[in-house]
Amino acid sequence: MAERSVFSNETGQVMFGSGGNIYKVPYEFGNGLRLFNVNCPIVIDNIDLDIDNFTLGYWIRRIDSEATGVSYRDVNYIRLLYDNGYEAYISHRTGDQTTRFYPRITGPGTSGIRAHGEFEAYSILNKNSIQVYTPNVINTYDKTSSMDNSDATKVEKISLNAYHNLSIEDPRMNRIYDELIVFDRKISLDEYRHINNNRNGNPPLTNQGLFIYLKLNGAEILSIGGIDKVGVRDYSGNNRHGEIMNLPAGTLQEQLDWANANLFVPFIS
Amino acid sequence: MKVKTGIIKAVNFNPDDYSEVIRGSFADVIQGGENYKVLTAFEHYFNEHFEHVFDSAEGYQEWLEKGVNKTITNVRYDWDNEKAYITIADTNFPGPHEFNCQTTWTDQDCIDAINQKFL
Repeated sequence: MAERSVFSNETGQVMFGSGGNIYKVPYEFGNGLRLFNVNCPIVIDNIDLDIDNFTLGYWIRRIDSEATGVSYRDVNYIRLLYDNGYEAYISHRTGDQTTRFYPRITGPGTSGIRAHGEFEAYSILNKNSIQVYTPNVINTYDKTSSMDNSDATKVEKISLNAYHNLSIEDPRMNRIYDELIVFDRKISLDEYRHINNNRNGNPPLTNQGLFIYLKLNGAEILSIGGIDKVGVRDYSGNNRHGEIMNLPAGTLQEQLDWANANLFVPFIS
Repeated sequence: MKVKTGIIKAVNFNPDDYSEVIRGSFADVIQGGENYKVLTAFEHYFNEHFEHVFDSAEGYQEWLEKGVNKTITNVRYDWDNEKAYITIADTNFPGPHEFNCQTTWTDQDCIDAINQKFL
């Protein structure tokens, strides 16, 4: 095998050079998170994120074509707990295959959002609106009816959740999450395009404002809130690790082994 | 590692009967007006001190939401041992459930026996 040198191009993407030939290294997604029915959400707590100025993004891939004959198979959703005690959530539904935004978890939602690609990115604007990134444009969806989150100033908790239609025998979700990224600022459309990379993926263009970065490749025993727990590592450098909740009772090693055997699968198979 | 869910009526629960690794992990639920302790853990933590152990989360969830389906589907007698065996329609607790019995029971006797077992 010819020797290869390693360098980064202007976008920070690693490339190999060998005798004048350049081979572009495909982005390695590694594993992603495939949740069970309501059982093991991942929670990032005590995060103190300014509510009007952040971007949340993640990859999500559908495994099988949606079940027919049922109103829905399962729903993956991200919950945002605000400091006013209310929660907003972004849900991915089977059936109509839309993304929905609910400024308050018990209130009416903004339906029919169809994120363009498999890297889905959102900013919450003025508490009751959501901006959705696509490769061509940032769309804004408003839901300002009777709900008013104007008294909220911070996001205190982010969690990855799912629930499942119990008439479906397989308790696992039909979608895989990967690469949860949170910036404490609004990212530009160019930054979004870089990460999406025509659905091929890239790491973030810059670490500026990188608040949380969960690669979701697997579980580890991590110090979370000063206590050793089983969770997923935050690669932003801020140690905002995600705790895997509701694991079966047992030793940490037993829980770790079970989480890695059951919750993480190759994102691209 | 296989994961199971076990239940025991709260009035019968003694934490010292369980491994110290998991004895603090029981949750409280109410089913049919009765308080229970419930534990979801790895298989080797379950012992004889559980009143029932479910093999699946779905089985436990069905019991929690609907209780026990006590519809009697079959009654069989073993006169040599003076036993009655009653099978019910519940998928988690089908039986056959064993009872001491010296004479043939009426339908109501069978119902009463099952009701007594699954209060």
